Amino acid sequence: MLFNSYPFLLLVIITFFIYYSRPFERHQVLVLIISSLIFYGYTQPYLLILLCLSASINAVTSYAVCFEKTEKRRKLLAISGVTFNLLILAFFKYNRLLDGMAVKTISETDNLLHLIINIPLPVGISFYTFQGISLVMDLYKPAKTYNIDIDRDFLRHYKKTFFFITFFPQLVAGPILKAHAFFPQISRKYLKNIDTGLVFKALVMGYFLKSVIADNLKDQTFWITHPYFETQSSLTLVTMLFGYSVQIFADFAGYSLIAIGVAAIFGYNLPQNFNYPYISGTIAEFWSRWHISLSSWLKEYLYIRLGGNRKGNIRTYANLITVMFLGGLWHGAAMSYGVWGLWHGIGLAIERFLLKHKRHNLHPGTSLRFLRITFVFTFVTFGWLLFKLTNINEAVNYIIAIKKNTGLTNNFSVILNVIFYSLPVFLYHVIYLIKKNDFKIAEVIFRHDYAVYSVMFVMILINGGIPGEFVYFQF
Amino acid sequence: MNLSIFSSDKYIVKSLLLFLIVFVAYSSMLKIVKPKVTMFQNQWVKNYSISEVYIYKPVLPHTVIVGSSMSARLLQEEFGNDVYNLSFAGGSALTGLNLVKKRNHIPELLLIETNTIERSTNNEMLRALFTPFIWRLKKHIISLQYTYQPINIMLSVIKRNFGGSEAEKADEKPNSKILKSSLVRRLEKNSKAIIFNEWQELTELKKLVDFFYSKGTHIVFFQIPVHPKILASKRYSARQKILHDMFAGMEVSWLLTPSGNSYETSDGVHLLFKSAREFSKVLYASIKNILENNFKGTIIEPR
Repeated sequence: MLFNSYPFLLLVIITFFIYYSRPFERHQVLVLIISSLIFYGYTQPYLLILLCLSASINAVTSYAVCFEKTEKRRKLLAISGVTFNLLILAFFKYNRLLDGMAVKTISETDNLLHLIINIPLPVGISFYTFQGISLVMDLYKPAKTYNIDIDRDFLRHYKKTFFFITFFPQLVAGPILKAHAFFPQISRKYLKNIDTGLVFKALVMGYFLKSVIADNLKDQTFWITHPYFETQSSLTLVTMLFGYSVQIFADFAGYSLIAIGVAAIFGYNLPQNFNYPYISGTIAEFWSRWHISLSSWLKEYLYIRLGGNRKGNIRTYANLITVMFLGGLWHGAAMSYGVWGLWHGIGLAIERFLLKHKRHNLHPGTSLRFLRITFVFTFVTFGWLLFKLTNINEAVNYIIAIKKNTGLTNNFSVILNVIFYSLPVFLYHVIYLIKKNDFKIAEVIFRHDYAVYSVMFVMILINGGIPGEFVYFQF
Repeated sequence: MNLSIFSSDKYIVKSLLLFLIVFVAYSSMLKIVKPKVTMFQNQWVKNYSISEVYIYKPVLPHTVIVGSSMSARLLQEEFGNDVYNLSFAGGSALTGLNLVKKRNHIPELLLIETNTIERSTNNEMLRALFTPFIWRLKKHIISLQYTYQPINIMLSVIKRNFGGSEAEKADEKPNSKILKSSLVRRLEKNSKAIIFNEWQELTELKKLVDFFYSKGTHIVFFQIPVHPKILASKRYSARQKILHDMFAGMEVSWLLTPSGNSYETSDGVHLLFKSAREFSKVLYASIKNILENNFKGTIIEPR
């Protein structure tokens, strides 16, 4: 079920009335679990089997890890839980990597192998398996270091875990929840406690970003695909690429905001996922502002466990590259995602090396800051090409076309549209900078913020694009 | 994304009030001015607009043309009000046929382009166009229609003031580099046989044609002129044979396919402006001839 569809709107409304009604006040979690299962199984009910299996095994493992007496057995159980999650991910997501690799050496008639390769990717599997890992790893820590009150009653723990894994606003594309941040929130909720301001802002902004910006830009950046890009001029190709950069931000930030808004309707706070990523002056800063729930997950559960920056320079660079490479592969079963991860990992390592060995200006002037922002934005934008063109040869040919197609006629319709739809996203970042730097105009803008929201609301109705799937659904 | 930068009081009430004022003002302005929209932000929005114009027509046309981007190049202005071109860029005749059926319209004459007939129906578009309640609402509140998106109105104004003239468009020449690379690609594609799932689309076509035929609609199959090499390709001739066999027992008309030598394309299959105008005239002459002779009229021979 898509956030930008009428069935979703209906599901939220019906769930809302049941959830806060007196007869169901003691069964709120159960109501949300049932809605979540309807949400997830709406178009492909068979996917519920895997979701329920994953949630159930994580519930059993986490319970056992928590209450097992001997350290040795706890460790064994924790390793089994994490391995189970990774195996599920590997089996359903990375089976595609077999295609074109090992398969070449095996007979075409090997039915089992072909069956494995053709198993469809369950939506949201990357997100909910990471949450399962988070639960098991959090509970493996010594009891005093995590803030989770685990029920002795297994059935209650099972229900809470099931809810944590399946909660529908974040189920298919995050923000990725960490057990220690979500479990303490599970309690009875009251209508009067809804943060209406947050709900309103998050939903209007979220739907504006998705429907007006991302859905319209997707039909302009469509021509990035092969073979269409071959006939576009250099300027058009560069413009489309930057347009895609804005589109992927609007699409994912929009989704995250809608998730935050819908969760807030039911009294739950989801973590912030984006924090003006395109004003970043360094690649490291970008990763502290982009898909925050994933980058903090990777930092907490992978980078630090690998030793982080505590084991010397070389090891730190290696850790950065490894984590980003795995983070890239988390997005999809194509080598282009791995290369995208390496692009960022190597970028981070070089940046760290340069900042360590050159005198780093901690307070750069406006022009230097602007140059850095432009550089990082360009670096990130060219990286997105590997998301759009998952065939690496095509991505390379796109870059070659930028160099070669200078003589072709510019597609001004595409250029104009990309500029038009990118403008609100750039303005949004600029407003943040204005506020951060205490410019007086900021006060005027913030006094009239209601006008911004009303215009966004109108635009959702009169200028929304043709609804498309969220980019991150494929991950 | 951080939302904390917006923080004034009573913003929800103020926002909703202003939203209502702006929305009502824009909708009223459209009702009064009814701006002429001639330019669209992209081909998909244009497809929706073409469909909306058709769906909300107070008087439906007696003839409907359905097809792909090749037919979408034909000029509506050459057809007049009684013929409507319901062809979609990136789509096929199947989407158009399903749309006519969903609209409960039985035209006298249905012209079906067969160049890309095996492309599947765009069910998402059909669902969106006929969403219960919403599609009726859009009829009355036209600001909700894709056609009247502010960006389309803005682009139309830019086109009117700064767009190229008719003469410039008529002088349009194909880019030899694009034509060459496109021809190679299309010839390769058209050298392959029709595959299994395309047969499913042909079966759907048969059902739809049978439906309209049984309701008394006269069916005319036609092809848009393409590059001679593409016309001579394996797939093109196979497709024509399949269609002729499929509708052999029915009284349908087949417009003769021009050789393609006299019509120019930008990429081997899409007509340039001048050729599109000429072929539109030929097609319209055929339509008139068939209608005037009570569906028995001969088809005007293309050049």
